[in-house]
Amino acid sequence: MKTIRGFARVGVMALAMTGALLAGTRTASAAPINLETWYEFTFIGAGQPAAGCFPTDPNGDFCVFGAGTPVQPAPAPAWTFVAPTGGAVLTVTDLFESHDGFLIFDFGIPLFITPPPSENPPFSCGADPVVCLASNRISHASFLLAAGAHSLSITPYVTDPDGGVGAFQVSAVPEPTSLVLVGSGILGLVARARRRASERRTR
Amino acid sequence: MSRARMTGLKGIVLAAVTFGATTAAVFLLPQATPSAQTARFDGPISSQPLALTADGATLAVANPDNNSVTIFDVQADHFTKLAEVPVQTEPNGVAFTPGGDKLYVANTVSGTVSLIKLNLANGIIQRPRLHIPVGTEPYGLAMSPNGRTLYVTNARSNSVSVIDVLQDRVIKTIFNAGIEPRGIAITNDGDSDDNDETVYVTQFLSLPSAPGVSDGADNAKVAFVTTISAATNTVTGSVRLNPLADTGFTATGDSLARIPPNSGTFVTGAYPNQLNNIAIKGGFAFVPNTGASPNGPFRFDVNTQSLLSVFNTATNTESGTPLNMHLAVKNQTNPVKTFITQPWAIAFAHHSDTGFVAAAASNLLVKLAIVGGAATVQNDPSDTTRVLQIPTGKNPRGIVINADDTRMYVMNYVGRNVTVVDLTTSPEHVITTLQSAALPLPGTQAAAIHIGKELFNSSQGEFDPVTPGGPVITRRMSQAGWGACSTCHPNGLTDNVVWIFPPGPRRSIPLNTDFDQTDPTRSHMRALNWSASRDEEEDFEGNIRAVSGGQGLLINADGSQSNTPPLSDVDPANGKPNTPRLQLTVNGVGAWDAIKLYEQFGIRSPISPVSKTEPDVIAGNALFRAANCQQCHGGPQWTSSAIRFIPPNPAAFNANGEILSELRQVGTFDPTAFNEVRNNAAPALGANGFAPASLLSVFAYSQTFFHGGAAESLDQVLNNVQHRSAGTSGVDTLSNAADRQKIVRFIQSIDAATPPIPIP
Repeated sequence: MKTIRGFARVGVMALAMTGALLAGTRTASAAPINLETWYEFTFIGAGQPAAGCFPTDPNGDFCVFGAGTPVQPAPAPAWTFVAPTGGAVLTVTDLFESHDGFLIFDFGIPLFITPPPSENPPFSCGADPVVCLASNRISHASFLLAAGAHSLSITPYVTDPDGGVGAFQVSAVPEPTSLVLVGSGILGLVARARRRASERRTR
Repeated sequence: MSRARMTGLKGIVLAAVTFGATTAAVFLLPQATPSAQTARFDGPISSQPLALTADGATLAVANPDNNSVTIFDVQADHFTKLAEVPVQTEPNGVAFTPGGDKLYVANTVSGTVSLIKLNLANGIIQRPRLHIPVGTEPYGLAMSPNGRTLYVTNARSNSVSVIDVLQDRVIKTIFNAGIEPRGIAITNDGDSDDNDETVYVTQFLSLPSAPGVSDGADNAKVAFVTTISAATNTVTGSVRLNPLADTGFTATGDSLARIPPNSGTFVTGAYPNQLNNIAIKGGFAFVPNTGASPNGPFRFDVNTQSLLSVFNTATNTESGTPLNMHLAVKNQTNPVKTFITQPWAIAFAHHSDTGFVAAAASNLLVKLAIVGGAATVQNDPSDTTRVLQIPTGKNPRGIVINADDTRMYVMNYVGRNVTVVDLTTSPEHVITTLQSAALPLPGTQAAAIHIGKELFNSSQGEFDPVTPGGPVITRRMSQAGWGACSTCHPNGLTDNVVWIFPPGPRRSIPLNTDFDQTDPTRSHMRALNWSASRDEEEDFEGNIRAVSGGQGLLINADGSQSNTPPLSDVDPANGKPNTPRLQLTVNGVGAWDAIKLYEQFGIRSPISPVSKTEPDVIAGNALFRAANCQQCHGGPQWTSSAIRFIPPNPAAFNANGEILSELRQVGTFDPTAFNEVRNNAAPALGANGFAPASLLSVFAYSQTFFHGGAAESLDQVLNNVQHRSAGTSGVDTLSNAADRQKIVRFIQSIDAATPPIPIP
């Protein structure tokens, strides 16, 4: 499972600035979503907030769906849900062509970013989110969410100029898994801190 | 397919993320750059209500009754409905860019062209965010072969809008594009430069063949196709399409020659009319049309014909004489015949000299073989005793063929679906039907109106069986599928033809004026026919039987096909009302009840391009009132004519079958005119006057006014002193030509949005 690997590639500083500016902002409408369900969403350009799929979201555009993994049209954002006691994992992936990357927000606060897409050569994973997740050339990422209420929104930071679709899913985390995730996250941070300290010492 | 797409992460741009009205974050991000679009269409272009991308992978279909466009994935016969996209009101034309990244939709009522952006490779079809204002009632759309210029016919403002596809804005409006421009065809020489191409635009209704030639003869009118240079986007001329001197069908008399029926064998001709569509093949343009053969006496097979006019695109002159496609059916040896009624659309294969014509009223396609400028209707290779007729859905109105000639798609207007035909087999055959838009819910009034629309547009009809589970009843609307109500009343309006009918010369009346459209119940009906000779819509059972040779829709108690009330019983003057008679039914709805509902609720009045606030219109309105024109042409139906009793009321009819109280003698009857003759060659009715014509949207039917077409313009209508003085007791208040011009301008502005002027 990928985590927040993409942060470093687009600039933690930029995101931090974005987060500061966006803090406290909210999307006007909110729609509840179900756990363990894939939702498809639409976007028409970098920097413009993603929407759901028309007509479920009257402000969204039409999503093309595949015949594989079942995917629901996303309603209008923000997408709200309550993560269970053990927390939840939010997974976001680009669909179809590998042009797109996303910033994800919770209550308007930057949460994580999917890595920049691999473009050379262009690649398409089709409409199935499970298939797309299996490709390293498609921008996707997952993030552990704490128990409690969440209100998600997504803004692509890079897109095909003619727009596209992506998918997200929120899954409850079984208790042991969540512990492993948290533990591995801590271990990762410790390892990175040690690595950076080591790099500073060697300069 | 090669469409605009991102080719890589190149360059740096400023991106903004906005949440709320005031907060924004700006940071630098890599950004994609689009590649140049290189796809172009293969072969000449033809406007249609459905469109394919150049690679044939994506199909778009207009849904005029649903205000939407449906997009299908048809690649490798997927036949998947991707989206039904809402657009504006009454979409009739669609056009893709060659690569399929943009789809344009002509919204006829809204006067706009909607833009839908597609990026199917990345999974998205955008809602239309741009509706480009064009002229009045845009109808046909055609994309230039290289995908850079879109042409739009504005049917009511007689213009063509030119849209630059890169800028998505109108860069020019070509005025004087002919009267009621409809179908578009564009040549394609195959190079990347479209400036050397020619744009052809059909004019829907034909016009008098020469000044002063009154309608009624089989050669009274000619049709025109306007030519436009793609280099300059200016009108360069027009192609004249002439009448057919010999249709191959004979009459038993010649009304205009005062020779009564059963006097021998007489050659009939027909002039081209209702030019909805045009397609180019091999240096020739082919224009299917409904030929009008208005001279009497009538029989079912000498009123309208199924014509294909052809002209040479190098010389822009007609090539030979029109082909009468009905003759192929006449000449087939198989006795079961269905004629090719109301040829509405045409398309050609790209790599062979074959094409197909959709017969809208007969629900079928016929195949053409082309040699130079000559077309022949092909027989069925599996049964050479008959013409090859490929069944479609209900009321086919558009055809497209994919670039490799393997699939043909047919838009069925009433069926709201698409027939898919496999062109790789012999004979070609239907492989599936794709539902494009929803039909009205059964049991609703909308469903009943839709049944009426279906019957109105059908040369055959399909009715409930006599007993449940039995065979459906069909072929009742005309003999051998020859005629439909729509044959003379396209879209419920008028073919603008003066027919030599039993009472005399009578121009087809647009049926949007039958009922008061301002009344939600549509309960007020005008007296029907120029002679006010009918008081119920069901009286037109007589037309189904006598004009079209059908068995009719009224039945006797046993409901059998052969047992119908005699025509004399149906006559409105005989004191037997038709409304309560037993009728054939469709889904339980009475056939005539449904047709009447369609006429009440389903026919839209043409929209005038003339502004209601134009000074001359306002002045003309005042002059119209001052001259008391509203005495005959006032009220919500813009005519004083009305049925003021509940049928039957035989006392209302005189010996000629006229409701005398609804007629007005205003000097429009000249018994010496050459076309003032009855179908049986006797002198025409008219001395008692005529039911005043409705002025509602009368602007739309130019150059043929009065009952017999004696006036070729509204100016001429008002030149008649007795007529223009009728509201002022013979005192001529309109002797000033400038005043009359203002009244003409006002009349040209009258449509459903014009506040009616009450009848005094």
